[in-house]
Amino acid sequence: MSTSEHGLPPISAATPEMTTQEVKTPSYRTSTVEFSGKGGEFFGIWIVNILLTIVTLGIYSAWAKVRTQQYFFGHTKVDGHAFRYLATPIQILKGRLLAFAVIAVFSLLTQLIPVFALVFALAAIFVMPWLLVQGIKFNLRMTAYRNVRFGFHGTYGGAFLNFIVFPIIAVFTFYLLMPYVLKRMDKFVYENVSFGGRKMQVNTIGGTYYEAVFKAFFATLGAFIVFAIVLAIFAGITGLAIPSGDVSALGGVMAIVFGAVYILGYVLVIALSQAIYRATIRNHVFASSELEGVAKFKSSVDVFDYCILLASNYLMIAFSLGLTYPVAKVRHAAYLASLTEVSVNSEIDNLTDPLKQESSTFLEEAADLYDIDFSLT
Amino acid sequence: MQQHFGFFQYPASSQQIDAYLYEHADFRLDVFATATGERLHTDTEFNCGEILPGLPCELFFADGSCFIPKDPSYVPAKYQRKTWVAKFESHRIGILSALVLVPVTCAWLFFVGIPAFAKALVPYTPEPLAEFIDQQSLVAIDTFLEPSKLPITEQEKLRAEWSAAFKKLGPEIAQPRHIDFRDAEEIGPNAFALPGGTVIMTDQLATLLKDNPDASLAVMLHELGHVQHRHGLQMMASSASTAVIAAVLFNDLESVSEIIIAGGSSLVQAKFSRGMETDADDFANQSLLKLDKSPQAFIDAMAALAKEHKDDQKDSWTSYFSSHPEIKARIDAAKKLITTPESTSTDGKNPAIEEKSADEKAAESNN
Repeated sequence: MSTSEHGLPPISAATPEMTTQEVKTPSYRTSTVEFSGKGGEFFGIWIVNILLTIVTLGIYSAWAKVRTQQYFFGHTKVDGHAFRYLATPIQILKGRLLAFAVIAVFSLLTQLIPVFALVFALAAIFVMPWLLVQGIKFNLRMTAYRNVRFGFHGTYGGAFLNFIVFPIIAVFTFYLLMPYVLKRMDKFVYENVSFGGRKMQVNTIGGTYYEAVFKAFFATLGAFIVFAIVLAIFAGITGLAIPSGDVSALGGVMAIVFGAVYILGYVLVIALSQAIYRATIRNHVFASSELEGVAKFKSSVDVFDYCILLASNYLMIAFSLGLTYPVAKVRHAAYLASLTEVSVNSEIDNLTDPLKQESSTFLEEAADLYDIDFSLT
Repeated sequence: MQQHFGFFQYPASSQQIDAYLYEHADFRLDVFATATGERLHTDTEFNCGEILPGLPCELFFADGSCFIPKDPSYVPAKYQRKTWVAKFESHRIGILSALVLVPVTCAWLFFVGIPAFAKALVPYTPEPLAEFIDQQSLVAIDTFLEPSKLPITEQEKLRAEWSAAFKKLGPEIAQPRHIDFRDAEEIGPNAFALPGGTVIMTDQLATLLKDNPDASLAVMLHELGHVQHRHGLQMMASSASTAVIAAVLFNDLESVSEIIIAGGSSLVQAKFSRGMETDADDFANQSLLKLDKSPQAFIDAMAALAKEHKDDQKDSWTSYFSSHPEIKARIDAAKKLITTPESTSTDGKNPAIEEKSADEKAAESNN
């Protein structure tokens, strides 16, 4: 046993005795995802993160990221168990420094020798799928639930096909193929997720993606038309008001109302298109996915409610000059959690991590190049 | 010795049981099963993640097992030193001071810190890099400027006149890397100094000031001021560092901040640039005095340029974003030197020309 390697007396119960547990016919227990984060509490973490990041000229951003992730993971519970973010700040810092150095060299070279921009753009096409796979792999390996880590099995070839080849083909179909490509991208990402040796099964269909894109497009178009009519009415009222005297005062008021209506309308249109697409796709992906014989998912996000939530979050952030960002982030997480159900059966209590020897939480030892997240965010 | 209740998770397994923990004075932890009292784990070596307000401090053992205390305030003595951030984050005064300090430190960094850093960095620019920058800048410039249509003899004559005047200013003054002319129908009368020290005058400006050689010398002295102070390189260093620092600092803030950063940094750049123009004007006027010429030459040049560009007086708001100071202010500054030339150069040496040793070294290496 691994404990004896550390020169400690063997402890009898350190080995889970799985053989004694009978595997019954799986009956599922269903629960809503709990989110217990609080806006005020996260605000404190967020503002201190920013201050320490500025004071340390960005070094602390790695700690800031880990703290934020741990806060959200730790407050998200499925079936009474919280998620766990395992990456250490040093790992994140190494990845960022590396990514930063690469970007610095690239931008310096492109500044000095403009032709390099073309070379890099071409290289990026081939590097991007690799970065994508590495990024997802890292983030899933650093995510644990009930002390078992997630895994990702997507290959470079798969990523290249779905994220480079298909989008290029879609361009030549005047983007008519795009919803199908989006479906393939999502499927590639979710289908290659595994947990405790079980793979995720995803049976999404292209039709729903077409439906989501179609609805979002026409709703946006419709909203624009309504928006234009409202603006025209306001402009008309302003125009009528001017000949009746008191031009400056009324004109000023109307200008403010006009501006407010414009901002409100703009935010609503953006929120609406996002809400339609995201809610439709989220509900569909959750309903069509299953963790092989262990867990089923359900998402029942309502387009209208979600639109109101997104729009109010955007307005809140804009009018507070960004200060309410943490509150908005917590609201968003809490809202999505409340509309997500996960059904698990007793199998979940007996899963083991197939990457056992790699799953030591003394991550510093294993922090090789493989364990580095290259993304700057 | 206090008991801490919680859960024990087996290594790499989803099995979990109720357990309690004893912490010994030597940092050793003992974990027992609540139901049976059986010892599940004992270790002095253990880790914990970041300690956050409101979340339990999970303890990870070397074999991959884990203990999760129920009490979110429990932190083992070994990791008490890690709790200061959580205390800061959950303390009212801590949060309030962060709220105040964030804009203050940001403003300091972008308005004071980065420009000072850029200025300090510039003297270390390797000479081949400066040359390379100018070569590349010229390649870029020549995509929209035409070769000069001035006769070669005319170009040579102007170059010789200016070079002679520049040399008279003394060895501590940097010489331009190269003086060149370009035909710029679109831009009109103008002159500019490239970051590496090359100075370009447009044919249009040379023609405009043909009958007033002192005025065109004044313009060139202004550009020489940029070269002497290495303004172009400072600008490059400053905008690069601003972009880098902003990217590193604010990537967690997401898109909202981008607007603020873009606006803020262009504000900073413009302020920085106006300061440089004023410095270059001072340099030009002081150099004119040193060459026994009147700053009136500079005023003539400004007046001619203003007339040509029909420079409308900018209002106070847009001037914050403008890269050059208003023409009137520039002329007024020169006029002051005509009426009381002694006041700015009482000790016989021009403050604008009196440069730091680093700049002198740079000037010598240029020669």
